[in-house]
Amino acid sequence: MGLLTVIRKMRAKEREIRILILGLDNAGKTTVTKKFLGEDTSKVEPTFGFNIETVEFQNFNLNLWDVGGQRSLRSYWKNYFEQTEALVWVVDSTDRERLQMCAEELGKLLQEERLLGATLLVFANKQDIRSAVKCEDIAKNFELGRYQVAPLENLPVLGNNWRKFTRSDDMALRRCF
Amino acid sequence: MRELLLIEPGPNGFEEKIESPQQMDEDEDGVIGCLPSHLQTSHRIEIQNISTNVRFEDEKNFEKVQERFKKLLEIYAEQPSLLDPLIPETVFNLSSVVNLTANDGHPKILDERSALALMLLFTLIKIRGYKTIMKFLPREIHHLKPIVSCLEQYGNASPALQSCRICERTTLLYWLTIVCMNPFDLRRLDANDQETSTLKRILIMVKPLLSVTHSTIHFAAARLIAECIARAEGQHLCKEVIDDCIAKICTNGQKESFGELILILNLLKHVPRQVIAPFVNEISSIVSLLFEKQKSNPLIRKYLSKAARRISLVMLSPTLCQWRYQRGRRKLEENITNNDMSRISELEANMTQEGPEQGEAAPDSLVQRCIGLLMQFLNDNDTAVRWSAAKGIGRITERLHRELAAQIVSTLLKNNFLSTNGYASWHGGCLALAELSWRGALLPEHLTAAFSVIQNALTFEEKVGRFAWGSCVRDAACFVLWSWARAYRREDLQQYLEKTATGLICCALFDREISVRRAASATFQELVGRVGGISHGIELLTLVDYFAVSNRRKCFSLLCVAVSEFYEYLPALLDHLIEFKVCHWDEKMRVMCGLAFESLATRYPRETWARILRTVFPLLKKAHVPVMHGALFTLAHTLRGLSSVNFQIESHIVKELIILPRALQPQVNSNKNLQGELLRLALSHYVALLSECNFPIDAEEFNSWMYIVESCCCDEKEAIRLAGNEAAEKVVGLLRNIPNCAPIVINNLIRVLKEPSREWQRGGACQILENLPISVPIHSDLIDLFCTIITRSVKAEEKWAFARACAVKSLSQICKRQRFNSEEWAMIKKKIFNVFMVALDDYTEDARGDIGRFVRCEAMKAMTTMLCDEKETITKDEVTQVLCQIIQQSAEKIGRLRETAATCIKTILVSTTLPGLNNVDLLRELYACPDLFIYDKQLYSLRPLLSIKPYSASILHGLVLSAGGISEVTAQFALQALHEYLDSATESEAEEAMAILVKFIQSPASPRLSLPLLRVLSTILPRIPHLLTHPDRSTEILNILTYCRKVLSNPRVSPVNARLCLNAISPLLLSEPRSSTWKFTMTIIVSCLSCPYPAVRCASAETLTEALCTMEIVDDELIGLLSDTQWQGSGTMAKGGETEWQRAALEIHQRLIVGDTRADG
Repeated sequence: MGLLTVIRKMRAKEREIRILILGLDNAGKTTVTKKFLGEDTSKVEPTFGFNIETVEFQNFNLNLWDVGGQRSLRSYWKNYFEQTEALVWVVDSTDRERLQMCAEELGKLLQEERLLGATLLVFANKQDIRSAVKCEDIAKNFELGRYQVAPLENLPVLGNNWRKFTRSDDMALRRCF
Repeated sequence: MRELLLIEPGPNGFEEKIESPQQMDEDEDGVIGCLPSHLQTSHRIEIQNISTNVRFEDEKNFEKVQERFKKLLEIYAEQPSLLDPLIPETVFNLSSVVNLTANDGHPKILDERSALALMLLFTLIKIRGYKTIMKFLPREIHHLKPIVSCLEQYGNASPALQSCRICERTTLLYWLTIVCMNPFDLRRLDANDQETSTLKRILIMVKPLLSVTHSTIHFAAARLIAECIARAEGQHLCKEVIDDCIAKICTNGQKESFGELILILNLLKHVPRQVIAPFVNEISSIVSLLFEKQKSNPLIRKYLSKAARRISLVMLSPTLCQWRYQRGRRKLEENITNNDMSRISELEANMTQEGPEQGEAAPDSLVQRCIGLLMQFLNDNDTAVRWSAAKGIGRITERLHRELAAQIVSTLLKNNFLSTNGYASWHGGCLALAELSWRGALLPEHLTAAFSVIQNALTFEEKVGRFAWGSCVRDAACFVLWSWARAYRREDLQQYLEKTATGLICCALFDREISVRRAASATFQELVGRVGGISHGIELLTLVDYFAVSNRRKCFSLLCVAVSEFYEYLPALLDHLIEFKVCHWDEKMRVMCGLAFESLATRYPRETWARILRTVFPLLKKAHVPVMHGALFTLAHTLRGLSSVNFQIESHIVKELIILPRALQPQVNSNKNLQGELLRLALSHYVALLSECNFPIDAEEFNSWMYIVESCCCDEKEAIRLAGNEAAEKVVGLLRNIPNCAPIVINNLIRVLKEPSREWQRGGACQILENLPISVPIHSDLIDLFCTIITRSVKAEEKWAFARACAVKSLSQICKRQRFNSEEWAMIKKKIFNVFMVALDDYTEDARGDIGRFVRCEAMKAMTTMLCDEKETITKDEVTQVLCQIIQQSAEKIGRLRETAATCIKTILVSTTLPGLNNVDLLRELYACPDLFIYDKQLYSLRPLLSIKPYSASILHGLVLSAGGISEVTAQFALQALHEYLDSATESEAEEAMAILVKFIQSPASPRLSLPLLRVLSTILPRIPHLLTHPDRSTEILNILTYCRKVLSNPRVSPVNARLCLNAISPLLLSEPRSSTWKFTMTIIVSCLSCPYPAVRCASAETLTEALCTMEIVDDELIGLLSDTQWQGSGTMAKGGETEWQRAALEIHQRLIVGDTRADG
């Protein structure tokens, strides 16, 4: 054991990134995950447990932990906080009624000491639907200014135009790290 | 990283770790071990095949499959992440094979196939780590119940099964852990009528696993419990589990409580802080109890240091302290959005100076105790404990208030780096500093103090006897500098940069250990890449890269000069060498240091010489021998370097240099022990190198130099003799320039040759004479002296084979170099030839075995030289004589000798003009590859020579010696050659061979030759059929029988020899029973029945029985008597004081010999 061992371990570790994907139920977490993986999204069912997926991105191994968002499952979220480098909070932009609840849940998460230092990405999903809340409004609603997170206007839009999605996805991820 | 290709696995696939030969040739100095750099395709396919085929595999193959799988994965044990692309698929395949439900109530719990799959998964977990593998195991909630009940069955099974199925259970435990991570209330699984909840069931099932003997299953079990307790519905069980655990530890007494300790560690890590916090006091009290009781075990100490760390982390809230040092702004988005530099620096100022102070201001006394414990563990004897403690210090300090952190740093700097402290304390201190630095907890204001410490640590050594500890400290010092390079801005490090760079370069070039050199090189790279501002950083980086520094000799002789091309580094290199390497404790390092000085002196004569004069000269006055050794080596090499560039040294210093050997002579004479040896070694090296410098030297000084050379050449240790010989070659050459000195030297040596007190003295004298320059005339007296030495005329010196070998070599060299006039030469030539012939037949033996081989080896070489040089004058007979002798050597027992012989023959055959060469083509073919003669099987290839006239006797001689030897393989091939020849030989040829062989037993060197012959005879005789049909015609057979009778009738014959004789003549019993040979043989063998040795009696009885059975009329009664008698024991005493076997022997004698004669009569 010596410096060379440390260096070798660091190299292996630096390549692994753990991303936790959370949000209310029906926000589209699993769809987002599957989209990252380039899998078929036509048959997505509500997640009652959790999924772990690994995808390679610019020489990084991204481990995506997608946990179900049902109310009954939310109390278990904290079991997944350990060593989380990034948190992706998926918002259903069309769900105006629960937007407040969504902000509150995120607020609770941000109080968690174990998520300290993790990067947050608020993912305004379903922006392609006309009735969706605008990104800026979501930002206002979430009062994110004090958390020093990435500016919202550049967030990816999950819509019919997939090419656009992938590109902005790339950008967003880059910002995460 | 370099690419190392792995050879495709062969049919058995056991040689994966060998590099391709090409690669090795290219840069073999860089290779220490062999690490794969990527996943080999064939390995990938094989692993995939195994994982998919487990389903269909034949059950008999399971063990083989498992072994192979393990073997394949272990190749990647050092860099398991290479396996990553394979893992999802493999884990999926394997886990889908496991059938958890089928065998409910079955005694074996799981079927073989499932067990195998779990074992393979365990191997994966072991190599890649459970965290990675766990992710890919199926985690649907419906798996929970079957896994739990399966594990329960294991628990209920017989004790034998409980301990052996550890691997399967470990895998299942990890699997259960990931299933338990489901966001799902486990209480929903519980039926109302069940007594215990699922969670409780799990806990009950797992707990016993913690008390098995220490194994991997502890970690899996503890991890699972922690996972369960961390769940919302499990948190109420926390108290119960902890109480339980503590009670266990208390009752365990002296038994080591690994399982419980590991459980506590896992709880501290995984259970939410708020839940575990109330129990921390209890836990800490039990930890201190364990510390008192079991601190003698390093593993326990490591766990305790972990526990101390985790307790503190539970106590301290995980805030990121604002005071933490941050190197500029390291957030990309801020740098992009705020291009205004002034704003950035403003932000920075806020962060480091004005920011609100955070961190725990007044931590609990418990945390303070933990820090105290960790500080203590930093000095621990065990490396793993120190590493763990250092990590703990780093992580705790991160959460503390700024002032407290500063306190920790200053305590560390004050306590851990005292000059009286041992290496452990320095190592721990360095590790802690490194951890603190890269967490930002070592603020720039501490750097000055830390730097002076690190500078010392880079060259740290703690001398212990003839060894020194401290490579780990030097390595850790590199670690600190490496983290600095990553953590600090250039402005912070600016004032230390120059010294850091030179220190690292010296360490990378001149450290004794390869790992430290490499670490220093990697650190230098980090420093150049991240901090920059190092002069010629990039150039140096490419020079002393990771691979270049792996060869120490290259570092000292080549790389250091290359580095010194950047002049500003030269002073540092010289200072480092002088301060740490000239007097290094390791002799090899002192020698290396000499090499470095030679190279540097060639490039920078003035600078190097100035330093040597100032620093190394005074060292010679010290009475400490290793220091003088180092100084002499350094001085000698520097002088050679200087003279190669014609650097002028002041004449008074030259004088001082020349008389140095004489000045040190008293010290050499007074030190007779190891120290004296070292000094002589150094001095002989010194004079050797000095004689290359062309200094003016007079006779008196020359004699003092010769004295050193002589004493080394005549030493009994080989290493010193070798050094002496090297020196002799160069020093004796000086005789050219010193007139009138040669006769004195030669006379002196002749005296030693004539009356040596030890064998080595004579050998040494020969070796010195060998180097006499051509201009020195040689008298024939000396030649005569050599001849008498070689011919072994003095009885007391008979065993001095080494000295004779030296004499042969020396004589050959002298004859080659000296220009005798033709008359003189004609006179001595014949004499020398005869002497060499005698040497070729030197078979002296002593306790070490055949020591004559040295003489024969040298004689063969000498003869070869002579034949080639004297083509014109040599006669045909002489050539044949020599060739026969050498051919005989090429068929003998010792591989090295055969090789030399073959080389000589090949050389002789090159010169076609030699007279008397027969069958040249065949010989050329047989001796084409002398290297092969080292192998025994080459003996077999020599069989064609057996039928070729002038050589047949010699080759037979050699082969019989080999075939009758005791080494089995040699004998096997030699016998094979002999048998094949005899099977195809004609009657007359066979008879001739016999005639040659029989001379063996008549020769004066009898036992050396006759024993091998006897060994061979038993298999040779049956292959000469006409001898057995008409045995009485052959006088050879009679000779053999007479000889054997003589040996056997000697009352003091050894049982081994007696049996050899018996075996040798036993084939003769197959000959015509009416012949006199048959009767003679029978008489001898029957007489052996009354031999005093039981083994011989048994052997002769056996031989007799065999022979009687094959006769035309079988005498059943006689055979019964032979087989029923107890030939082995002393037997029961019968009447008349005769034992049973004596009576039997008498009766057999009566019936076979006496009866026979009567019938004849």
